[in-house]
Amino acid sequence: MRRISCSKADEWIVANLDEGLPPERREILNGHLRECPKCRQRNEQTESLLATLLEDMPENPCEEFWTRFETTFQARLEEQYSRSWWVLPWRKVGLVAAAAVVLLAVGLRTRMPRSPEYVTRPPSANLVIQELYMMYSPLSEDIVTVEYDPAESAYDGNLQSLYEEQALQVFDDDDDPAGLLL
Amino acid sequence: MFIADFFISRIRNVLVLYCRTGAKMNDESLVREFRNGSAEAFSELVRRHSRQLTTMILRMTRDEEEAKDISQTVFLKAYTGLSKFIMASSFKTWLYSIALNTVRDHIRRRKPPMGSEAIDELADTAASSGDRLDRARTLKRLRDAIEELPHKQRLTLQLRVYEDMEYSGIAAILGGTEGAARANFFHAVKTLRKKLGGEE
Repeated sequence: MRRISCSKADEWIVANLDEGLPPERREILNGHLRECPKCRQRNEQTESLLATLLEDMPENPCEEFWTRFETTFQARLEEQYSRSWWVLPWRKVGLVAAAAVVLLAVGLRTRMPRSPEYVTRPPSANLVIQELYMMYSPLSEDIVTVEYDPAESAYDGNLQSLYEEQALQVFDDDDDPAGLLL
Repeated sequence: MFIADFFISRIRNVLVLYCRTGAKMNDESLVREFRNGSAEAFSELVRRHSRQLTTMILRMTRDEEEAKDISQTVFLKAYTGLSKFIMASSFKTWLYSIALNTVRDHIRRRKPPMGSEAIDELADTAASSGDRLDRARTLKRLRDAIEELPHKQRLTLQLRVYEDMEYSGIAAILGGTEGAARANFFHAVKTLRKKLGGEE
């Protein structure tokens, strides 16, 4: 039978207890162990060591641990996701888009054509001017000269209605919206 | 229009993923779906690997809270790093590489090895007879000896013994060849045997 050195036997001892040796090598190792007490002791020590290692292996965690794991991991992942590089540009795009919309609106507002009336006169001023015009304009004097006194004149009812018609022709509702003159 | 297209594509991704997970999409397909914007694909990857990965980290740190934090950190690193993952290795190998580096950084920063009170804790958990106290001391010496191993030897030992991982997988995660991984395991065992058995 082939003989091996103690150092080679040591390698084979570990390999045999770990993965197992091919049958012919195992035969050679067993032959060596029968003859060498030192290697036999090494074999026992190695066997004991590997068994102790396996015994000392921590137990698998309970289900409650895995529930906690998943919960806390989801929280950490969401935090990470909020800081992810592909999330940030979308936020930036959103901000840029919002800013663009605001700028566009402001730009359109400033460039929008306005009527001259709007620029020169506000609506309330327009109304006041219109009323003042009606009250003090020359046209109102002309109307004031047209007088009618049924007590001292010989105007008949037809003439009265004629004056009234003339007055209405001069002042229609559009000219006197506030009803100041009629 | 562009925003509408974006949301439609997101909805499509989720629906496609929902249909396909029934047929067990592989990790690489899920990575591709995630890159196309499917958050559900990443959740599926987490569901697949979180338990095994966290358990592995727990076996290395021996502390549930630390293991939880480290494991979550690993997945968050994967989340941000997936866009740069070139798929030269499998997703699992890549994930475990991140995990082992994170564990290594954590152990470097961690408090010094356990003191004498740790032996009492170990003895208490195993009852109080003389034999069990001896056993607690042995476990303490073993853990200290493992902590003192060179980084690659320690990881190789833990992956091989605790995770029952093939040497090809260990080599892929830690870098190097299968032969180098076997040699690391052999030297780790030899060192521990010497420290525990007083062998010269």
